[in-house]
Amino acid sequence: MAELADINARIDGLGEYCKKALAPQVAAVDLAHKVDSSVLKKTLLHFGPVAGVGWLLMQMGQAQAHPGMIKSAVIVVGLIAITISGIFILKELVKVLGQYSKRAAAMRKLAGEIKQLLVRFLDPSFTLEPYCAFPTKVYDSAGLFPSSYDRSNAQDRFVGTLGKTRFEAMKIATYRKVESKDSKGNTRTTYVPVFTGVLFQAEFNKNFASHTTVRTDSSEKFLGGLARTAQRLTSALSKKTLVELENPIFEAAFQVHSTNAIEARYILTPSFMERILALKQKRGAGIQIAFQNSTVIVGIPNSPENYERPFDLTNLDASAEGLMTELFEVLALVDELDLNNRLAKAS
Amino acid sequence: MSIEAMVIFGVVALAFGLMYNSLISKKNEIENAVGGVHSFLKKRADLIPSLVATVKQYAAHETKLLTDLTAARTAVQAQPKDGDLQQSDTMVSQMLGRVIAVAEAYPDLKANQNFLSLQASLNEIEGQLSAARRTYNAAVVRYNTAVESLPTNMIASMLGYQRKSVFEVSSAEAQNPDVAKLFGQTGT
Repeated sequence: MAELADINARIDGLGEYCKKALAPQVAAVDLAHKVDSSVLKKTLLHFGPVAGVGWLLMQMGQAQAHPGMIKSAVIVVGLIAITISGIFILKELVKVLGQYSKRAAAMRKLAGEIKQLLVRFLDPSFTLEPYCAFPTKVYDSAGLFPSSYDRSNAQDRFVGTLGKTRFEAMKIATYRKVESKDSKGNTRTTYVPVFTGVLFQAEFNKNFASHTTVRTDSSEKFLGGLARTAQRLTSALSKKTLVELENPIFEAAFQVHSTNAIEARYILTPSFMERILALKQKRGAGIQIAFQNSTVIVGIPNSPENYERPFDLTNLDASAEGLMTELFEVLALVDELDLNNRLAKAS
Repeated sequence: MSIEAMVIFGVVALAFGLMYNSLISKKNEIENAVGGVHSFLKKRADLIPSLVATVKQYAAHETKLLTDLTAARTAVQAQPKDGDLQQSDTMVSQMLGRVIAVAEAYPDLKANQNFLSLQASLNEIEGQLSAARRTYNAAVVRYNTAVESLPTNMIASMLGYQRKSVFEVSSAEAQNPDVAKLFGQTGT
């Protein structure tokens, strides 16, 4: 079973691995799908002037003062010259565009394969599925996102076991539909991001059956006790209880709701609250955590550019390093949440 | 009665009703939390016979300790629901702590699968019990705040509600355990 220290050691050998195992594959695909535009260039060289002459003839014909057979003939010859040149040039252009399209598809496929090889380089048991995600009901039922959403995109499902903990992670972007009318009365639909970042799901190191959410709370920072009173009132109207914990720093930073207050405190021990605070410090404000059915789900927001960034094969080393950093940050969560500590988990 | 007087009366009655309900809700929260503590104390006590049977196989000399543990369990089970939770909890916690400490001296017992499984179950229950105590304490603090703060303290005194005590660590538990003395007490 993989351990974090072993993985850290393997990352040191990443440069060598890229150079010896991956760069040759990129070079081979690059060579196999090289775009040959020499025929297009020759066609443009030969038929470009012909099209130019045809255009001139058409201009001359139109400039003729008196209509007649000569004028019409000149225009027709010009048109034929332009048409024939156009056909030949277009034919070669379509071929070259087709080559570019095949090259792009081959590079995209290779990028996906290389990402999987890099993941297996970390540990042979890890997998990365670029176009897969875990089921939407997992994060819908977790109640992680600050508001409801209308559309979601997910990718790069990363699965493995670190120590005793089985985990899954993926990138996700959720959006809320916003409709507005402009001055002419036309409806414009835009999609506003609700959450963009990484979702991490793992088996928790304790058994429990309830549902608890730990969400970032910025209202208490500004409104203090008023915010707390408002939270109590709104919680009274929902199925989940507001759970007030003993750590004042944790209380100011997060709002905890649960279907079972005892299990919420069972999960959120004083030491675990400290871990969550350290996680917030390290990963930034905006982290959301849900605990349900002995599973923990963590949402770590990051920028939309991070979500959309493609794996650039032309800069393999930097792309590989970027991917390793992202994967290592996911793996580090297992340690940061102490998920491998199973002392309190009966089988 | 004039309309203004009716409105004032209505507002006062509403405020009274809300405060009364709030006090009742806090009182019930404590009862709920007590129920939670009881259920985990019972769950823990139910493990004791299996623990005693397993330890006896390897540590037959520890008769007094095991007898004391069984007696502590019986005392817990005989406690009524509104009895002294703190006392029940402390008694069994101390006995279990001693048994686990004693097991360190018996490598065969430590390696026994049944003992390991029981130890894991006990760890789990201790965690749940700790959470139940914290929930009880939180409920008591909220209740005490309502009983002592204006304006709910007026309704509380009308209903005869008084402060309740939270779970406290006894002075014996607060001291660092003397492991050598612990082994000496058990005759090993």
